[in-house]
Amino acid sequence: MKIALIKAVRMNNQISIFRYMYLSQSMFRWAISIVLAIMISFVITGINLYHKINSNQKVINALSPYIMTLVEVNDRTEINRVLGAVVKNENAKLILVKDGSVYSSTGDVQELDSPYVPTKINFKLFEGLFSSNEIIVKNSIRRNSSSTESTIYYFGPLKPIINNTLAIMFIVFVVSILISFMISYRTRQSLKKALMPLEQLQEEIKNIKLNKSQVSTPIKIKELEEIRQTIIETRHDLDLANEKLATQKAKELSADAYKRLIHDLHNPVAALRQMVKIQTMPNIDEESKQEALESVPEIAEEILLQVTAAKKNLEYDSLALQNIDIRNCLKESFNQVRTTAKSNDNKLSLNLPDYPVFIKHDPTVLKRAIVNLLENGIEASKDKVKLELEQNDRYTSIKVADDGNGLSEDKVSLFLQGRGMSSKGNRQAFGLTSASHIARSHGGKIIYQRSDLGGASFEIRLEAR
Amino acid sequence: MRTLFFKIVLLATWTLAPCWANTYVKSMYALPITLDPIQMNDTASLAIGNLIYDGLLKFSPSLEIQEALAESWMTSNDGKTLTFKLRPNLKFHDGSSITADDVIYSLTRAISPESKMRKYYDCIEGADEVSGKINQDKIGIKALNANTVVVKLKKPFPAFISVLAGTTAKILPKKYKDDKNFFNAPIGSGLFRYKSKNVANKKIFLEAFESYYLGKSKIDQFVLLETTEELAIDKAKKNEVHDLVSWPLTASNLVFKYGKNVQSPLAATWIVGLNTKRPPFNSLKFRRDFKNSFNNEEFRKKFYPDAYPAFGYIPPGLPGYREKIDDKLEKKHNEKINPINQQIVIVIPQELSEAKEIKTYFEQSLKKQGWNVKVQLMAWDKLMDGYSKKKHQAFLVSMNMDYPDAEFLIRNFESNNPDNFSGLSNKTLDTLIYNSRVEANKSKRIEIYKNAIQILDESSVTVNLFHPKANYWVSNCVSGIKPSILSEVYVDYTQATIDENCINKGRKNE
Repeated sequence: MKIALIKAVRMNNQISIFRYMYLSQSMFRWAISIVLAIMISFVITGINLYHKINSNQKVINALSPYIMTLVEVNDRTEINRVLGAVVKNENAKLILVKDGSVYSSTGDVQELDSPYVPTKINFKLFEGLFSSNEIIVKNSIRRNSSSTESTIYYFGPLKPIINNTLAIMFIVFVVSILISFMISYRTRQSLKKALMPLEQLQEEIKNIKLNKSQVSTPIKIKELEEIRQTIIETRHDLDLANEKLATQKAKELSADAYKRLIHDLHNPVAALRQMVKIQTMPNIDEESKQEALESVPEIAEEILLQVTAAKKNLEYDSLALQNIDIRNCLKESFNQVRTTAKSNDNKLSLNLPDYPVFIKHDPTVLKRAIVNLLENGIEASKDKVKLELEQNDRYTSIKVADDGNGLSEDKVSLFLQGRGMSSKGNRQAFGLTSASHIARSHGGKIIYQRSDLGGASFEIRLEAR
Repeated sequence: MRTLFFKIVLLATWTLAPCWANTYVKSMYALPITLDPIQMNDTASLAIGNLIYDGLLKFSPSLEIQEALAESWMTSNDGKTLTFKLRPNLKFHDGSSITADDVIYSLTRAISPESKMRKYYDCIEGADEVSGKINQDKIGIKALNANTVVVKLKKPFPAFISVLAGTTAKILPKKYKDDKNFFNAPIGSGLFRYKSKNVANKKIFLEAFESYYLGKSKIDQFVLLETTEELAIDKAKKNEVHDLVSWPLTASNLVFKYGKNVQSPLAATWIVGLNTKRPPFNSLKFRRDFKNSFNNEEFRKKFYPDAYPAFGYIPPGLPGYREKIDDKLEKKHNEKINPINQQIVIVIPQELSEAKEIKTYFEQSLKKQGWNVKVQLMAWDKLMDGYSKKKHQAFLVSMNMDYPDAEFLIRNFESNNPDNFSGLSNKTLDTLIYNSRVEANKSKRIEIYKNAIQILDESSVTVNLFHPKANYWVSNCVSGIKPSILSEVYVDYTQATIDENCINKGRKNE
């Protein structure tokens, strides 16, 4: 029913399209059936009544001349027989009233010669007089030469007509309701069949989200085919947009990388230039010149390291960001390091929330950064390295902490900028630089703190949005 | 002819009827004179006859002819051959089957010399030749098979179907034809089976017939009780009698406070019959003067106010009924009356509840007109005896009908009719009566009746007092009784029921 539908909508309950159709049609189904039943039964009853009244009127009109003759000769016996024969096997009654008294009746003999008491008439229709339970038609019979006035009354029972009307009403109602349900069922079946491609469309939309490719089959239903075409176009447009966005991003990242490279190379190149200049400067002693000369390879090596790191970072710049559970990335990183580091299992620990943490990230690239931090941590630690994930409203943080000696903040700053040398070799410095670059490419940053374990703690902080 | 009258003054000690379960007590002015259908000429006999016997046909309450033992019937185109097919599995009260032979036997009895009903059956082929021993081969009543009977008529008699629906055409078991005591405890096929007769208590006991073709009656025992009107009314008030149908009551009777009044018109007429064979009524002038001396409306209003006025011999509802005084006759009636000094004796039934008052009224009112009239109260059986022997000068009787046709009443004045109480002999009337019997065209027959009635009126053989209206008293505990227009004899008890709880409650309240 519509009320149920409104209620369902108000309650914000989701209902199936079929239920929606059923509810929205319910009221009309019942209303139409009732109206149809009433209309058809009334029309048929009206026709029946007309014919019944007309037929009864014709009967008494036809009888009248003969009855008049019998009245004139006082042949009540014959009148009784004639009237009795007319209504034989019918639940009707004929009465002949002569001068206000019942002269003949097919009813009880006791009525004879008693004053005729007119039945209370409720209304008149088609020349028929309707009492509470009878339809009455009458015909006055009087000869011009006679002072006697007689009237024949035909009392037809109303109950069978009412019963017929109710029966017709009921049958029409039941039939129309059944037809309505049948149509509804067929409509539902057709609709179900017609909406089957919706599942295909839903799958295609999901695949757009997951960036999966799928063979799209044409749909016969025009409206759905239009939606499919729109999905295909959207997918195509998204691919183009992604490519464009990737190109743009690559350009930006390249520009950033070059800027950083230029910035990072500025000091070593200036130092190299100064060292070379020192060799030609007249007032510089030989020892200083020798020292300057010796530092040239170191500076060159540093420049080469910077350029190599920049190149490596550019390779990672094309990120495939996905809004997926980041815990998987941490687990994979943790497992990789634990396998490759061949360290004591007890040395590494992983602390993750027990709920999924969705955040846009490129799992491959981010895993690289986490692995770098973990490897650095293992190298620097004495006994423990901890990887943990935290989330709050503003950001998600991935922390790698160790119980090593820790790093001075100045050095960390240099490492994060891609400069300086770690005490344990270039690889570590490069790992930290790379991790910093990956964090920035995700729109985040790396924060260095002292670890609660006593060593260093590197936090990759990714903004919530 | 049917004659009534009642009030048998019996002050004998009354013994209450035993309280049978579901027992219906019908009070009557007399027990039946005979239980032989072909001898029945009084309403008491006819009434019990209708309860214990059935015919081929019957009248509905509105006098439609219906099937009874006959399942169907057919009349040939010439109206002279009637074929009746019996219902299957019909039984007599003794359990034996009813066959075509029983029908032939019973109808043949009706035309036998000892039949008082012969006049209604003399139209049957071969009826004239019946005298002494009946030769069945010459009589037009034959069996086509065990269930089919054919009746051939000499000439078409349209009212014969009505005769067969009447009280005289009852079917009896042929196998008892030689049993001389058969009618002491007769066997029929009617609604009730004859059980016994208590002469001392003047009762006849009937019991419901379980194999009745319309189904067993809801009344287990039916008692016919002879009593006086006064006693009957007293018992009716105490619910010891459940039916006063046999009594001609007026609606104003106080007994109706204690029961229902089942009203109906009646095809009957009350007359003072004048015997043309007894002086001074052998003179038309005296008969006419005597007739004109009666103020019938005054009499009706005084004794039977709810009856219909009589302006002629034929009761209302039948062709020939006169709705007002005939102008021609009125002129004659207005002629000067010349009474004579010779004493005229009018016999009236002493059983009438107001017999003495009626006697006084007649004597005084006619004396004022100059007549020397003596009204003699006479017991019903004596009155009937004198009636049949045409001894009475004048007599008060009610003319009832066996079938609803004016011919039935007019025939009483046919010269050769043994029941011609008036002794009238009029060849023109005889011809008209004969013609009416063989005229198939109803319009022509009605015209014949008019002419015959005109002759009767002019002959002044009847002083038409009134046409009665039935006021049947029945107990409030009784239902389903259907009156008949024809007479109380035809009251239908098929659907009658009696509420025993209602009866007992009434007794407790006394």
